[in-house]
Amino acid sequence: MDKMEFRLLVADDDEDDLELFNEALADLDSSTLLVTVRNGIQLMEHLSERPSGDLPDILFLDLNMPLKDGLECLSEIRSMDGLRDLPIVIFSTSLDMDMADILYKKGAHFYIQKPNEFAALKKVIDNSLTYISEGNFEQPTRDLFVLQNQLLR
Amino acid sequence: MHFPTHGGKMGKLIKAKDWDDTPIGNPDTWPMFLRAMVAVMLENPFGMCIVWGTGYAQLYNDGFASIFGMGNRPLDLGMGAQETFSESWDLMVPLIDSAMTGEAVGVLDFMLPLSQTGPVEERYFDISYSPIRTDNGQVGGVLMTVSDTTEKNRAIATLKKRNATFLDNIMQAPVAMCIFRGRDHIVEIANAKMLELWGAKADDVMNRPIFEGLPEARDQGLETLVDTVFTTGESFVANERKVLLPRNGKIEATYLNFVYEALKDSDGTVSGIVAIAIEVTDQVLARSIVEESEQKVRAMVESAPFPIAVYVGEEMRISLANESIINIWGKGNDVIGKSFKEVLPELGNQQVFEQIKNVYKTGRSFHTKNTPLDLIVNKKPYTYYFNYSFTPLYDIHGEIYGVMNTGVDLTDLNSAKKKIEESERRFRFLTESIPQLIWETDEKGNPLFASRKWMVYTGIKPVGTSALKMVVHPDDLEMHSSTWNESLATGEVYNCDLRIKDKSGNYKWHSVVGEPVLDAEDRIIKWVFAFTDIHTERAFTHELERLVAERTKELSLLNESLKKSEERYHLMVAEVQDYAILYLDPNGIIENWNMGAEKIKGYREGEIIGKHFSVFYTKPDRERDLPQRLLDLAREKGKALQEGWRRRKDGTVFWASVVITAVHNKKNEVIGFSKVTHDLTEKKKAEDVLRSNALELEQKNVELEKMNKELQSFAYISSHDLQEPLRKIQTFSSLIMEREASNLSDFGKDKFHRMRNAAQRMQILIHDLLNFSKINVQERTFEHTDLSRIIEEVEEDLKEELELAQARIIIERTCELRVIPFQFRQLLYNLFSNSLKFSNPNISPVIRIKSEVANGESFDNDSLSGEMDYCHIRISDNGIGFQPQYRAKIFEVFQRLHGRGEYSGTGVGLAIVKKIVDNHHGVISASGEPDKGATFDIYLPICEK
Repeated sequence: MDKMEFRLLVADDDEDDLELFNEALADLDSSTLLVTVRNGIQLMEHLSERPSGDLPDILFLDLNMPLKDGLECLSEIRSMDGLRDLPIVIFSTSLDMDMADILYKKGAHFYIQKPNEFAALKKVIDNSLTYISEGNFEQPTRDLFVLQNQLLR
Repeated sequence: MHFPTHGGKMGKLIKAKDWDDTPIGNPDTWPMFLRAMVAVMLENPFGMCIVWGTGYAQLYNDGFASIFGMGNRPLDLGMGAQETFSESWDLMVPLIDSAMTGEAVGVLDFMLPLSQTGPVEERYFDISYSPIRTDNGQVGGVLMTVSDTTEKNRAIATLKKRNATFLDNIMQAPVAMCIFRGRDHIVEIANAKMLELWGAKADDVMNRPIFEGLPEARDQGLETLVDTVFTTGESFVANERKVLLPRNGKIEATYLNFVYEALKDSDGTVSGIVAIAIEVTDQVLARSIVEESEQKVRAMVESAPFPIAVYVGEEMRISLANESIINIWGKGNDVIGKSFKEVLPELGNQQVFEQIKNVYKTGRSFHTKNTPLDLIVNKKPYTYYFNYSFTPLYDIHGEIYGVMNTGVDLTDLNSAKKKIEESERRFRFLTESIPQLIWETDEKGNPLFASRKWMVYTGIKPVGTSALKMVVHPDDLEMHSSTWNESLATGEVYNCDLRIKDKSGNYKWHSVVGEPVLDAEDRIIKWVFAFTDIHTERAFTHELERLVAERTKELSLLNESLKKSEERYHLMVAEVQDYAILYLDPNGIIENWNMGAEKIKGYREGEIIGKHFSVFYTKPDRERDLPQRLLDLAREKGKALQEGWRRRKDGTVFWASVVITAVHNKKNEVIGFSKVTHDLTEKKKAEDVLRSNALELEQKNVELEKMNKELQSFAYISSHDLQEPLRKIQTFSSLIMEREASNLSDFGKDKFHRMRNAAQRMQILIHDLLNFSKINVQERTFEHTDLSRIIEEVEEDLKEELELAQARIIIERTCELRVIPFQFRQLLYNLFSNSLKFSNPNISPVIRIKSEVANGESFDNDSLSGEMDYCHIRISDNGIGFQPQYRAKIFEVFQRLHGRGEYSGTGVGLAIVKKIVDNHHGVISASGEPDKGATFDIYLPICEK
């Protein structure tokens, strides 16, 4: 199957993380189109302005953002027509198991702790892209939901 | 032109003047009215002036000239008035102008400043301005008629000033003053003193009729007084007149000195009344008290039942003599002011005058007793007996001014004594005519007399104290003696039934009654005994008495034993030391007191019995009536219990436990209360300390909770904000290593690598610390859990590590536990990780785990309680072990036994283990030796359910 162009949307207020994300994408041999927004408000504006055929293939969503945080955005997105199936990867510095339960219930696909290793970062992005390239928009089972930073085990 | 002959000086001058050159012109050409008016003017005694023409040329008469001092200045004639009256022209001209329009104008008391007679002065005039017409009817000039009112105006001003001064004087006066105006006596002015005297407010009385504004003053005759003053104009003066006036909200009698003075107008009619008043209530009352007390003393002296007289000066002038002494003297009532010597000359040779003289001179009192004095009473000689005294009297300067004579007339007493002797004789005679035997003793019991019948019956004469004993039956002697001694001691009537021996030796029962005989002063002077023969009755009753006595004896024995038991009980109560035991009467009065009570409350028996038991209560308790309420409760329920503070005699307090029990009689009426008090001060103190400790503990808990919250917020920060920069360091450095490794020397790569390791260690440290702090604050939910299941879960978590190390976990025995599952999982995870980390590199690691339940005493650990069962979990490995001296230290946070180069780790893992065991109220201990493995023993208490 030809590599198709992925449309990635990243919502994060951290410039460093955005840059790292970009670097990681550059190293992957996927054809991608990256759009970034800096907070929840911008995110929701961006999504609501899109026509239904022009939606991102996957959203990487930081939890801790100014103005409107990731959890609020998640709830809103899941209540919007046409966005119920949008794959959402929660991308956060901290990992909290209580929070994981909530996020899973709200319909996020993955909860990933931002990796320490650049290689690991590339890997989780690549895995995510593979996941959606397989045309799989179903929420994975709970045991696969959390991808913890292996370093901390 | 005709000029009147009586035109005065000015007439002549006007006539003589050459008018041709004046604005008025030749008099012959003057209009008819002007000529007429000039003629009238010149003959008029009042000051008049005509001003004519547009320049107001003036013509005036003598009167006018004299008023304005123009007599000496004939030149003014025909001159314009403006020049003459330059100072007041501005004031005059509007009036003249007005008259020139045809309107007559008059002004009264019109002030004009004038300088014609000297310096400028203010003068007053009544002035009228009347127009004078020319022949064709137009107004050509004005006639001024002037009357000088300066003097009148000055008088009025002075009067006004005086009036003001007068009012001011009244208002400032140091005495109460006011003015009533008119027939209704309206209060025109009243000063503060007067308002105070009336006890009224200014608003109530000012400008109102006084008897309306001050209704309290009505109907005391004051209306008539002021009416009379107003009608007659005669003043009225009152001294210390009683007037009822309001004082402090009540009507009180006051005493006033006051004057009503009529205010007369210049024509003599009365227009008002000035009142001046001074309140003298205090003085009057003070004086009346003095008068009253003097009156009382005088009345007392006058009515004294004993004689009193006062003799003044050397000549002994009688200044006071009461009725009693006047009666004794028998010289009539008219003795005051006379010389004592003159009134009673018969005392001249009886030393009395000398005695008085001596007291007067020396100041030493003279007293004498039962002294006979011969007096001539109502012209007959008598002998009197007196106790009398002469006492010096001193004036305020301390000098003797007279002598007081007091005395007691004993004459009657002396004659009474003679009468007694008389009656005595009659009494003895009587004794012979009655059937009783009579016997007399003196006040000490010595025989004085026996009647003839007594001597006939007994055959003996009363001689010596043993006379009676000789005739009394030996068996009765004891009773007689005790009764007789009792009577002698108390003066009570003697009453005994005795067997008395007759002269032939036979005993017969006699009822013997001895009565004391008293003198006038109630002293016993002798005893009279009467013996009545009662032998017949007595012989029978004697037998009865014997029987009764026997029965009584039995009863008294019974009583005695009862009494003894009661005494024993009392003794016991009295001796109890730890309890205050008292008995209260139905009203709470203390009747009984024991040693414990004295010890606890500090009162001695003698000082507390008879007092109300509320003295033991604190003031607040007394105020809320606690003592009575406890009694009421005990009365109602039979018993009242209370704990509280009580007061000792010295005012200190103690914590008392009190039981008050109602005591009932057979009719079930409350006849009193028993009260038992126990001093619990020490117990109370201990309880208070406990309570305050608990409080302190609670306080500490609150603080701890606060600290925990802070820790939680720290945990959040470390979990997120601290980790983020560390993650960045690592990610960026790994990016560099991936992309730029070829550009770095080996040295650079090494240092870069170590930098990354350091950042990684720090991240792990934060993670571990976070876990450590979470162990405290996380929710603790105990659940029954199978130990083997937890082990399985942990094995699963550590699967990779176990495989890598080729390690085995051997489970020997497990049981069910009541634990916080996720914490216990963490505990095993940490211990297993620990064993894997410190494994012996030469042999494959083996971790053994076993558990058992047994009593605390059966384990070799001092921290365990023998009253409890524990689950003992032992985890041992075959690793490198440790030096035994570190068995406690390894559980402390950040304690590491090895260098970082040898074994990684933060030194938090075992600290978490220890904390989890603490959370389960358990005990953990470690033991080991180098190269012989480590063993961890965990003891968790088993609580029922």
